[in-house]
Amino acid sequence: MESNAITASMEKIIVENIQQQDLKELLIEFVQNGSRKHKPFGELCVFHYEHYATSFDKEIVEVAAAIELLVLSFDILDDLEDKDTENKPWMHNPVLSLNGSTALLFLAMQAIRKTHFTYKDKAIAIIERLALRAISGQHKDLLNVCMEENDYIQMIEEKSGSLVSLACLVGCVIANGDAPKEVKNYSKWLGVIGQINNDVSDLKEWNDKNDILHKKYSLPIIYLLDVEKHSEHIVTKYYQSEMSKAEFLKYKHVIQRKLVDTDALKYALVIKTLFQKKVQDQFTKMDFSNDQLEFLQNFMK
Amino acid sequence: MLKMIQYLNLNPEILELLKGNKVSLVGIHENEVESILDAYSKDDTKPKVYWD
Repeated sequence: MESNAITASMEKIIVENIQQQDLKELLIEFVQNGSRKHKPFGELCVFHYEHYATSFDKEIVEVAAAIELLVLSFDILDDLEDKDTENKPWMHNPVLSLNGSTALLFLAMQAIRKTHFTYKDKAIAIIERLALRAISGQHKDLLNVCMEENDYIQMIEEKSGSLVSLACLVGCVIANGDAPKEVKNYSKWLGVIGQINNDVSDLKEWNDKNDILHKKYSLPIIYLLDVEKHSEHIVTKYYQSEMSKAEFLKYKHVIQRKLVDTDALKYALVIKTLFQKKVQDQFTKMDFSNDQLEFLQNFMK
Repeated sequence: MLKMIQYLNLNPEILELLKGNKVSLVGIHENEVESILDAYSKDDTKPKVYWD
């Protein structure tokens, strides 16, 4: 499935259902200039639909577009909450963006309800349940209280795993009214892998996205703070507000070195590899072709 | 897993023995051992790769 078709459908849903001209233009701008070019959530929805449906109904593209609208809404809210990005169109006027993101949520649900699929109500129930789970995970992330390995993995499984699950399960359910437990398992773990990738990537640059500068917790940081219980504790002092950001920045290269030398980054990689193996194990229980497996592997690199 | 990686970081000789299948890690599942070995066989976190 082409991401372009999903993007076109997202725009169509907005144009057909939003009357207020400025709001319509704002949401179109969000889709065109703010959202990812690739539409992984929509693609996963279509992939699972194609796998389980007995025939292909192109209306599934509207369901995929609805899921991408929902994820776009969550992305906007996440950026507004974290205040760690400036170059997205929704950061220009946060008040209007908040209103726009609310509109996207309702557009998504309405778009699915307007389709002719037999199991659309079941799909909507899945979206409601998993979207609320993702919001619960996001809340924990904002509270910044997950300071232990298990708590943190549980949180990202809720925050990120639920959204990937939502996309996959809706595809299954729209196709035949059911979703196998293997899909439930591997989809949430794909979300965990994606989040660990983001967490490691965010540490590469010492800019607004860097979790250490924001005193946020992620797997490598949890590891580093634990190491510091037995050695010099620069990061700990900064996290406990015993050191200013300006002073902490002087230790930038020391921290970068520690992330590597103590195996903090390697630790995150081990956990990611563990989840990759769990996903692979579930794949062996599915009747996927090599092409299908190749497609799914892209989501677990 | 966190404590195990810290232990391996401080005792790299154990990692070498693990690679040679000459020791086993008590309380660590086979899947976890494979993940450790896989992750340590990759160069993703070497400084010149990571901080480019």
